[in-house]
Amino acid sequence: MNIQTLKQSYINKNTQFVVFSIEGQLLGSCDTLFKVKMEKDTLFEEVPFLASMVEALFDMAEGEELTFPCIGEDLYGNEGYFDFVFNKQKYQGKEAMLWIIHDFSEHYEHLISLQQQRNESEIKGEFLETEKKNIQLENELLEYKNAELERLQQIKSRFFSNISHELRTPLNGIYGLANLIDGTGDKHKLKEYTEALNATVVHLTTMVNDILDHSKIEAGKITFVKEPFDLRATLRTVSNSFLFACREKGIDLQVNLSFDLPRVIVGDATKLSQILYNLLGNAVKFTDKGSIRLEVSLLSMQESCTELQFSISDTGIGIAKEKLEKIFAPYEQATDHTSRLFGGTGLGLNIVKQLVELQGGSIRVDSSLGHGTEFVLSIRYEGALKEKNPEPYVSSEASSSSDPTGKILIGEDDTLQQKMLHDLLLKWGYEVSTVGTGKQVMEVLANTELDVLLLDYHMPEMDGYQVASAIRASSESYAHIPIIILTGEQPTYTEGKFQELNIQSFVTKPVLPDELHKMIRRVLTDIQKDRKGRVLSMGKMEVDLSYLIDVMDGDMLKIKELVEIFLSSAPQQISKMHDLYDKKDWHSLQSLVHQSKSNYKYIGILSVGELLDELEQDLKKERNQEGYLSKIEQVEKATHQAVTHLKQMRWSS
Amino acid sequence: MNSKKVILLGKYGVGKTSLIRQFMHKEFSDAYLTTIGVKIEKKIVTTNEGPLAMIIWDIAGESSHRKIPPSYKLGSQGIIYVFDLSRLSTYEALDRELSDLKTLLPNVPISLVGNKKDLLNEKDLDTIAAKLPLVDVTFISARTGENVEKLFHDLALAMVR
Repeated sequence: MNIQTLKQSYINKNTQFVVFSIEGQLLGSCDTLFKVKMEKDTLFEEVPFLASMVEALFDMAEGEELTFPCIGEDLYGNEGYFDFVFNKQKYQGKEAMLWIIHDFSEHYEHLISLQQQRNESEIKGEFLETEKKNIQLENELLEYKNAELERLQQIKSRFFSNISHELRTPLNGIYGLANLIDGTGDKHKLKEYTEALNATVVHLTTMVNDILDHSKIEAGKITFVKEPFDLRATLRTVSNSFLFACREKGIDLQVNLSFDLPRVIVGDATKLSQILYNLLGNAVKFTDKGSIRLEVSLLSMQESCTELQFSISDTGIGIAKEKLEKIFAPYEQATDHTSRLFGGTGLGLNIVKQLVELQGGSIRVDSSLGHGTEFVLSIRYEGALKEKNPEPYVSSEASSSSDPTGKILIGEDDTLQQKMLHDLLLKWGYEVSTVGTGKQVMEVLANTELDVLLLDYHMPEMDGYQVASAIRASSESYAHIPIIILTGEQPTYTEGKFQELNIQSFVTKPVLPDELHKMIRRVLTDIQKDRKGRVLSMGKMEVDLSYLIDVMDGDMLKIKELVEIFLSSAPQQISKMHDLYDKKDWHSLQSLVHQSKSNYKYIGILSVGELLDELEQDLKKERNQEGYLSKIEQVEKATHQAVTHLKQMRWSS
Repeated sequence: MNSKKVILLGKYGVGKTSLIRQFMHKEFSDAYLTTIGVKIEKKIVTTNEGPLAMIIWDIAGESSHRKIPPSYKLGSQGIIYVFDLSRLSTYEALDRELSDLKTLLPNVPISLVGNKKDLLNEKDLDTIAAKLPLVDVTFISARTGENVEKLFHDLALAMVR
């Protein structure tokens, strides 16, 4: 056996040759590996592999060869791995396909185990790699969480340290002031300490409210009311409360309201105020020069939704860019320095943001270090009523044109309160003078024509009561000046004491600007109303015919008859008063005075009526006997003037 | 009877053989048995055009179809590209693979199949779906048989259309 024979013998036993026509008809097979059975019409139907390759085999060119390694198939019961070679060529003169089948089952089965190991190893490697990546990611996340936890812990520690300091300071103050109050008998000091105590409690309350608000928001327990409220009034109240602080710092507070703002909107006025107080408070806190501006505009207005935009800008210290993104985070302040210098909980802006967002709004901040800060926020409200005659511009600094004007004297010894009142009155458009003692009040009154006197109850030298008594007892024109008493006492106590001085206007300290403004306007309006024609001015004497006009329905002839009765009886009554004085018949004099004073009041000679009131009181209490004659003479003088003037009047309906 | 050649492609271990086994015999085994070369199976399916013999070529898994003998892909009339939903490496290069196949075998319908759906929850499946280059992906489970019949049926329809 030669080498060629050995080779053929080796190849022959693993190789089969099959020849079939292009149509799939078997043309020949050596059947070395399997016997080709033609149970079906074509080989394509017999062997799935061939069935799937029909088109490809047809497309081959003559002489072209196509190889398919490692085909796992069952060929007529002979299952194994084969390499197929197809060669298109002529067979017995016809176009045919030579299909060479090499059985490499033994070889490939050995390969399977190697391939299995390789694949399993790679898949395992992949899983290990994935697991490693996951562990790495988990570690990174853990590190991040730890760092964040540590950061929050530090922030909270710092916050509690700050807040502890912030709460302890006013608490210590309260404790100290309570001790001072307990140990002082000095009324002025007591007043000073009580006011300081009030201010400290207000500050402490604000801090505690911040903390409670924050906790409420965090616990999702904050609620919003939906009630109609006057938008302009709310904005005015908020901005007015910052006027004094702005004046004190020498900064300008500007309020700009868009002309198309609705008058009434439906929402939570308290929450809006809280937001604005916070932002304006910060603006005032961080601004030492320049201005603060509150602008409100209408973004959209539909039947069921009104969106407003609020802008609060200042020319203050500003915020560094890298701090801006954290400015709304809880417990954050721009710097630790901020906390030390300006105090506060660091919760304010977080509360603002939450309040805005919980009302369906948004807030953003722009700032430049050293140049100021602007907060812009929008809030959606459910509904609105549009104003019929909108005010295009409202400034808190401006007073309403309908407010009456007047000259007001403030008698107040406390410098701070004096300045606060002075600035308030000035802001409201009045002419204002201030003095610090009762004596000075009397001096100014003697030299200046004034409309209203604001008088502190507690003053050195002459207290409010003594000053008011002196004024009322005076025969000067200022004797009937309207007096508003400022008092820290219980109003009922003070009012009782002042009743006999014909003073009905009292303002309890701390002064509520709105209340005071209302009171001054009422007093001045009354004066203006009188001056508009119901009062006849006669130098220092005035006759107010309004009562008679009212009861006589404006019938001037009937009024004239009544005045004529008065004109004839008044001189007689005064003459009788002199007689009774000469006889020192005080009882009869008191009866006559009582009877006469009503006539003067009906006719509207109020100053004389009041003078007779005083005389009657003196007679009743048997006091000031030395002043009886003086008062009778004052009555006589005033009556003479009134009579002269009334006689000159032209009576017509 | 009309015959169509369908090739199954995809990385090793993605479950191509398990998919065929489920489709042919409604069977599943957890044991991983690697495939070498190609195993050929035939199944008659019914289409609206009549019965169709699907000759399915279960080709040994490779990281890319480029490593597969070109003759295997010759004459293919349908492609099922299988990946393992639980192994990122089996679908991170899908874009390139599919693009290559479309160039090599234009107008041949391709079914993109994510296997081992039973190992993942809906949220994870949504996350994966969002990362895939094709919107038309069928998530199946060779273990439970979910969507297996539908997959072959839809492909058969696409091939005879």
